[in-house]
Amino acid sequence: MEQRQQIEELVYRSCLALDDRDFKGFLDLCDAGFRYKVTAYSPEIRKELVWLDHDKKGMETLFTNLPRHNSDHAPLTRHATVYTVKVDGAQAEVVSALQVFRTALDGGATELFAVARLVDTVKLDGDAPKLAGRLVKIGTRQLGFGSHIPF
Amino acid sequence: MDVLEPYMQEPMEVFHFNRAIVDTNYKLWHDTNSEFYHDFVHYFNRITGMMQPGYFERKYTAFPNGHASVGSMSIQYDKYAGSKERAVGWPGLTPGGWYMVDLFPGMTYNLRTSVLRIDTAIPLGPNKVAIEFRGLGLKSDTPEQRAERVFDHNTIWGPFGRNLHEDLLAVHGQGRAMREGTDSRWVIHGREENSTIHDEVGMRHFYAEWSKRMGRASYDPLGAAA
Repeated sequence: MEQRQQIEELVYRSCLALDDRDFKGFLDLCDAGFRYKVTAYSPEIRKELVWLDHDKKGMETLFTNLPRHNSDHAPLTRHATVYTVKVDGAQAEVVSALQVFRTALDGGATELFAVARLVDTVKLDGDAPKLAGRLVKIGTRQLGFGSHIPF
Repeated sequence: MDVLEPYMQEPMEVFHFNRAIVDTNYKLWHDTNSEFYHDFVHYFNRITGMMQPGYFERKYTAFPNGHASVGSMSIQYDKYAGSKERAVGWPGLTPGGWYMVDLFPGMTYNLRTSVLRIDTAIPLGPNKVAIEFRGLGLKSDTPEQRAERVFDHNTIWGPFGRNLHEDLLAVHGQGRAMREGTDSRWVIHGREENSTIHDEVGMRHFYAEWSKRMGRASYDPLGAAA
């Protein structure tokens, strides 16, 4: 498989795993040094906001704690489109557009929940490409009652 | 605000802002910030607060004009997996300390160990409210201290935090349950426990003020009993 195709598939598989709440599957796609961050720019206070910032262990804990919490269980569907792949030696920077849809359990209506840009760092020096970092630059700042599961 | 005055002597800075629009009445949000038995909803609060010494001794204090405050205790943040003892505190506040001040009719100052959160509820209709959330640290924070405060904030608050989602989900559900045409549209604020943490004195006090200002009883707002 072409390298670009492998990288694109990694991004898409990460979305599928999160859609399916296959958190182990998602973490298996991540390098040991994985870092996940959600940021947003707030014109209201003219600042870049950090809404989540975890290493791989932090993400694992976030996922394993989920059953102890009261969460909205409406399924999220991530629709990603890989825009650019910039390979630099043993890693690549991948920029994708992301739309997240939420389907209400009661009635089944689907609504656009959020738009974001994914800036992924992909490690290429192993058997298969791995996510070394994911920066979710979220555009949507009004997220209703929010979500326990990140994008 | 006298309760918070000793802790508001240093210049502060807003590092977090977001707005949530929820299909519920604004008073239900203020209720969430005014009573603590809903701590049962929060695994984080149960494990770090409710199961720790001092929780059930926290007291409400009612002030004129519908305002109220909640006394402090020492939260054991390290009891939650993935959390830790707060690396930064707040000037003058006991480690793990937590004070809340509810301002009538819809503002809350929530000083929780390392972060001051300010909620402002803006009613958009009988069953719709916009809530603005602000997170504040100290203007003097080093980048490392600020990062700690942001981490502490985001663990429980913010759009992906453990507690805020649970709170907003709860009032969203209340809004659905109390919509016109439903069976019951009442909230019972009947717990009297010497003004301690699960006493509902906070909202009884709120509704006494609401009734006074609105010129009608909160238990019979449409005068149906007359």
